[in-house]
Amino acid sequence: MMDQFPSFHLEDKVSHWEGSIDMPPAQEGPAGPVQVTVGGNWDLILNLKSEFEISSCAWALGFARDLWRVVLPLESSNIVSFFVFLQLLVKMLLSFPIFHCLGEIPAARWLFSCWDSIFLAGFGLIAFRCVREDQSSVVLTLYYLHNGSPRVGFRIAGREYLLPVGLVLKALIETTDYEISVSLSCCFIEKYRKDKGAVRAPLMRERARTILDDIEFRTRNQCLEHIGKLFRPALSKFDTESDTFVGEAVLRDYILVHLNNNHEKFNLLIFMLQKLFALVDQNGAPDNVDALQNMEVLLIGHIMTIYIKEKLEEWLLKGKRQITDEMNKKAKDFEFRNLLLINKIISYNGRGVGRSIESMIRSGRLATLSGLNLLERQGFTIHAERLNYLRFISHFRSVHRGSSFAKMRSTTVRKLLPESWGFLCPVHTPDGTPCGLLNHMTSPCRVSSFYDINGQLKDFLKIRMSILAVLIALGMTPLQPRLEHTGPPEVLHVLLDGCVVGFVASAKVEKAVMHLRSLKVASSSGIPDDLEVGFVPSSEGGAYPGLYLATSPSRLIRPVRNISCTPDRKANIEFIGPFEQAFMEISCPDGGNGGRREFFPETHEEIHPTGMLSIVANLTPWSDHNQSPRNMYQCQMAKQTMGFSGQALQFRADVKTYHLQTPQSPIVRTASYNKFCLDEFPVGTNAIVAVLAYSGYDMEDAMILNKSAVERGLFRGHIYQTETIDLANKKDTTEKVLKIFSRGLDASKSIIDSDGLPFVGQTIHPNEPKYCTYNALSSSSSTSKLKGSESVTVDYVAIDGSSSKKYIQKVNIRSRRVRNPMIGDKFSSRHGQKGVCSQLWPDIDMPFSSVTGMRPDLIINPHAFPSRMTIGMLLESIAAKGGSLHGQFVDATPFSSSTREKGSEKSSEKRSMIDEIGPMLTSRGFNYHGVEVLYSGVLGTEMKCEIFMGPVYYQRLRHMVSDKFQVRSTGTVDQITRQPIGGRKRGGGIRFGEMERDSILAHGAAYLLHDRLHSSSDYHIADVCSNCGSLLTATVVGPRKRMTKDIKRNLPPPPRLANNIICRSCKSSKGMETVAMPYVFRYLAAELAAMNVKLDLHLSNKIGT
Amino acid sequence: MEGVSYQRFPKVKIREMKDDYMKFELRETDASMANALRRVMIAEVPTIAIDLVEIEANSSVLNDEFIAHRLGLIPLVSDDAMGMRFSRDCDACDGDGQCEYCSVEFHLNVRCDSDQTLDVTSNDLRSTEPRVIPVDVAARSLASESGGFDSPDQRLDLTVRVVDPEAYTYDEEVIKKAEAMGKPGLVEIYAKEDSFIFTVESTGAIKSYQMVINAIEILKQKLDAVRLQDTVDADIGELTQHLGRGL
Amino acid sequence: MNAPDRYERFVVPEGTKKVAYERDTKIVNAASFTIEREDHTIGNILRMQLHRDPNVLFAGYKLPHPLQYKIIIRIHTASQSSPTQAYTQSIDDLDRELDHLKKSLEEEKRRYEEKFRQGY
Repeated sequence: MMDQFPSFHLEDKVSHWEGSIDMPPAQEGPAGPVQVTVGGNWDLILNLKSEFEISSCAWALGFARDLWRVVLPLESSNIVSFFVFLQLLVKMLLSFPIFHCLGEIPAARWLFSCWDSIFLAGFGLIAFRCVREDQSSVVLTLYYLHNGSPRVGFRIAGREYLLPVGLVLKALIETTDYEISVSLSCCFIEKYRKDKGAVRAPLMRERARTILDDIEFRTRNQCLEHIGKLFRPALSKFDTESDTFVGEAVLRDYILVHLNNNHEKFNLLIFMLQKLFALVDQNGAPDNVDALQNMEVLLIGHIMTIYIKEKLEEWLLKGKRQITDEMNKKAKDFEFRNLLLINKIISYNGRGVGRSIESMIRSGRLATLSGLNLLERQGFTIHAERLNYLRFISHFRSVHRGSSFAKMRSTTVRKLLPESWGFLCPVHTPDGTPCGLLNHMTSPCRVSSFYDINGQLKDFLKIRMSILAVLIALGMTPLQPRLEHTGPPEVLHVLLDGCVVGFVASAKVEKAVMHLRSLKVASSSGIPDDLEVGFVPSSEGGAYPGLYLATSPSRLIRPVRNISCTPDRKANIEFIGPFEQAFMEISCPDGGNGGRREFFPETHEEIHPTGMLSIVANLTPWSDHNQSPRNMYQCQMAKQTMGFSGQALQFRADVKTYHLQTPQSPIVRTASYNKFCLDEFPVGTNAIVAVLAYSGYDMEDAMILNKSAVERGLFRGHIYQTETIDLANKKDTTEKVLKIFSRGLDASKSIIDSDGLPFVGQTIHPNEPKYCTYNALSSSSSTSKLKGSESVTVDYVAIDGSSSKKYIQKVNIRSRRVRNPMIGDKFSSRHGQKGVCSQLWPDIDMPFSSVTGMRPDLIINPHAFPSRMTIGMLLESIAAKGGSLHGQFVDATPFSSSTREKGSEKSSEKRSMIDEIGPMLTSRGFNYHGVEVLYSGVLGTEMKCEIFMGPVYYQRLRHMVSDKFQVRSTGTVDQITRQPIGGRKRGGGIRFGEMERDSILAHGAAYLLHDRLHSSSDYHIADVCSNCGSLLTATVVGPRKRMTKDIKRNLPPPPRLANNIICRSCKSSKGMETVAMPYVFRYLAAELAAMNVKLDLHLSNKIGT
Repeated sequence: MEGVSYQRFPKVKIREMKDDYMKFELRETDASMANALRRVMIAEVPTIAIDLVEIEANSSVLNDEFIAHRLGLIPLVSDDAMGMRFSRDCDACDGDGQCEYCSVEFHLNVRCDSDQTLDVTSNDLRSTEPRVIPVDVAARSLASESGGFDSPDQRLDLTVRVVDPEAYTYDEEVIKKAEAMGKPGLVEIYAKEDSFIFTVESTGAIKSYQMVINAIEILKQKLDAVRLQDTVDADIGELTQHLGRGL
Repeated sequence: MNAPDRYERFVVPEGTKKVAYERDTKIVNAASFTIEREDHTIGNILRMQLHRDPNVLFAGYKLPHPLQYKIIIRIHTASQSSPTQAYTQSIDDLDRELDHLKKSLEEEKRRYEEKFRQGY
């Protein structure tokens, strides 16, 4: 059952780190284990892990209750913002050399290289992502240059270095020029020249010569020494070692790091060169780097592991430096055996590790200098919102292509490629900026991990050994360090996890693959069930042939039926990966063969066509009858629906939760709905929907709700919000208690309790006190008031007692606000048909059916259908009607006509849905086509045509007017410009912008324009001196000061006299005029004056002068 | 002019009558009257319902608003509703709904002491007025009207026997069938526009027959309310106008 | 927000009459009656009853806006009648019809129960 459920993989080594770590041995005696102090942030990580385990177990059991609370409120009533790691698709599949054409490599790229000063334009490269056992990776690149001598490229601390491949080959093992030459050229055999897939490169020998001529060193030692000399400046840590040692370290740490054996590295490099040459000679097609075929998933745990590794390394280096500093300072007192001292020194910056990990979880950004050989630095986490259950689980099933692609202008990475079939859902991707970058795994798709299906840690060495044994038994020739062997098409190379292990004769390879697959399916063969058997056959100009096996974790895998090995339908589930899928013959049981040729018989079969859809996309009933963008919209809207986000709402402390009061189980549902037990978290209501134009209030996607239905509880909901108030001063480390919760004298006793907190069940209106605090220092109390325009009800108040002080300093207050449907709220069906409620229509005014007396809950306009073509919604309506009449749920699994069922006959398959549903309706006295005769509720007369009416599962979306409306008459103005401020929260206005201005100008509505932009904005009367034309020099003189007694007596200020105003520069009140202008104009004059620019106004009463 | 009347004399025939269900024919009137009765029955016949809930303590998982809403949906026996006042225009208590003329008080005091979930139903409501108690059987209130249709026209040699003229709703199924038989125009359906069949279902708060009677009464009251109060003024206005024209 | 209070649907605001009569300024024998806090229930039966009056040349009603809880009935009569007369007449007729209906329903009930008793 496990494999059927979505599970996310946190198999990581985080938990292994929890205890202590060992210090590297110091010169004299062991320093002993050093406790890594990590603090709360670690708890967070470990909590996360355990929760994930709990919830994935729950899934396996087939229900997912609200288990998050198990950890949350019990440990501390803190609101924990959850951050979910996005799973990133990394560019390259591990251990598969990927070729892509670069065209001419730009010269700038070469400037990076530290030493290769020969500017040679090249084209084409082979990239190879090597992954160590701890999942840190190093990419090795082979560049092909025009002169025939490739370069090996790799990055050290972000900078790319290039080495001639000959140098690396010679440095790897003790070898001769002859050996290299033969190894390279052996794959070209004259007699197979014309055959399919043969290497047609007679230049091989010449190339080998160029490679060898490129370097002037003979022996391995010379090469190592040379490499060591070159890289010493780049690698800081080898101060005292010899050049040879440094050279070996470079080979060990940067060249093909997934292999430990230099012979293996040599063989692999030769293989890569052969592929590079074959592809340069256009014997094969370049691999598509954007195709899922060549990708695997970068998992949370793996990022964490390498990030922690790097942070610990940094910390240890710092600790080492500090110890050396200490030693230099007081060499005599320093004693290595003094563990306390060492501990103290080392733990100076021990907290930094935990803190950097916490900040990484919070911000999703990797603060790293080396870049960890990842393409991305940021966007690793997103906030796990529990808006509803579907949104929540979708976070864990999402796969992002990397935030850097979002800014790219090219759309190639966003394309839906056939390679992603069955692994990534084509429907469930957002539209807009992240379209095609943020994907979701299909419901049966999984990620291979360190753990096998029984939850046991895999022993990769053992697995590889058993695979090797099987391969040898199947006729593979193990690759001895021998010189000559042939290449394709006679034999094919076998690569196991990026290591050339041997070669198989082409004739035998297909049988071998078949056998391997049958062993995969068999449970007790020692071959893991998620082994990827990537068999690339020899082809004319296709992918480079070979047998590529992979056991590694973090590959995407999905189940299909292997119909070639065993007829048993229950025990033939095989897990396949995206690489092998491209070369497999998988049929979908829809009756046709999908254009398959006869000489490629199908070997595998899809389990169900809905396997290509994600969980959310699988929930759309009859999505195969809808226009595809509608299904995409529905995937988005399902995640914005108010529903049951959790079942233990009472004990939860989410920052914001939406809750539907009376959700229902859909009458029409897909098989997935039951499979994922979504009845535990329903998201909508079966509303009786009539499709008619009634009263005009349902135009343009508006919809009319039945007021009485709403009053009976339809779509009623709440918003729960939790606020944490912590009065403790975080910066102040002293134990002094400054602020505590306490009711002040000014606060009303009916609202605030004596502890300064509100009563549970109390309704607080805007601007009423929410809680009271007392400041011990100033011995004053203050009340906090409720902001906004909506009153809330206090749902729950929790006092955090963890701070062992006797005063209340930290509380969580959960409030709830009632959100009953009102005009302007948004609703949608499950078919991407969203609409806004335009009227709550009285029940008596709604149309009614003469037979049943029924009035619809909801009226939508028929114009919603023709252009959108959501036939699924019509089907849902009519099927739900039939289902509710017969008291049964209706299965609406898409593509059900494409599934082959054992018992069913051809005739039943051909029966259309309407033939099933129609009789259901007629048997209960309803119209066959789902229409009903309705009467106008206003006049009581019969309507001209029959109305399509039936129950449709409707969702209430979280976008509500109460959160969005913005009104302003007068209010705050901007300090500088005196124009109204913007922003809904601050009571600002809506900007009347340039385009609005243009439109008013075009209409010639001058008065309106003047009203909006001047009278209702920054209307201002300025005093202008007509002599000097200055706007700024006006000043007030004379007895303008208001007497204090006047103010006391509340006398009005004396009238302003015109002659009281004088121009400061003209020193006269003559010629002072008042001019109405926008205040910003005056501001502009002031700004210009600050820049020594004078603004002159020429005043005149005449128009046009 | 006096004595002229355009009044109709509708006929009623009861087909079926139970406490919470009633079916009757209404003849010789028009759709407006039938619909007005329907509308009044649905919306304006007074019943008693819980309107104001004061919660003293609620430690259940359901929040206060939810419980108040559910209480408001409970149908209460409302035989006395016609004699009571709306709390909004009650003189005795200033409209705050505290007096015997406009309110009935209920108490709900339930406590769950076991580990099991406790069902709280309308039976747990304690009424202060024995004549106003929750209705036992919860049924939906529904009043509907159905236009009756009469015999289709008979033409040609083919005879169509009408078994039940009321069973037809004008949904074109019969006409489509006739077309499918190759006899377009064989059947024509006309509605009898002055006859109606009423089906009245009640929640049990009021007996269905009483509901119809109450509806008629309410409609009469409504009509009385919209009579011109200052008929004299209006007529004088009219008169002066006539006179003015006459001069 | 700014939604009208729920009682606004029923309660005639202070200072306004339940029925306001306004004569047309251009056409003689035409007037509109603004009835506060009523809806289609009253509007429609009055309209249909007015149509039965041969003196009424035009009778119609409208609900100006779903949030303005009033109806406007407009009546145009022939010269031998007046809108107020037709209006009052139609109310009287409807009142009598309802009286008749009530009476016949009560009679029918008695008859039905009688039949019921005999039947068993």
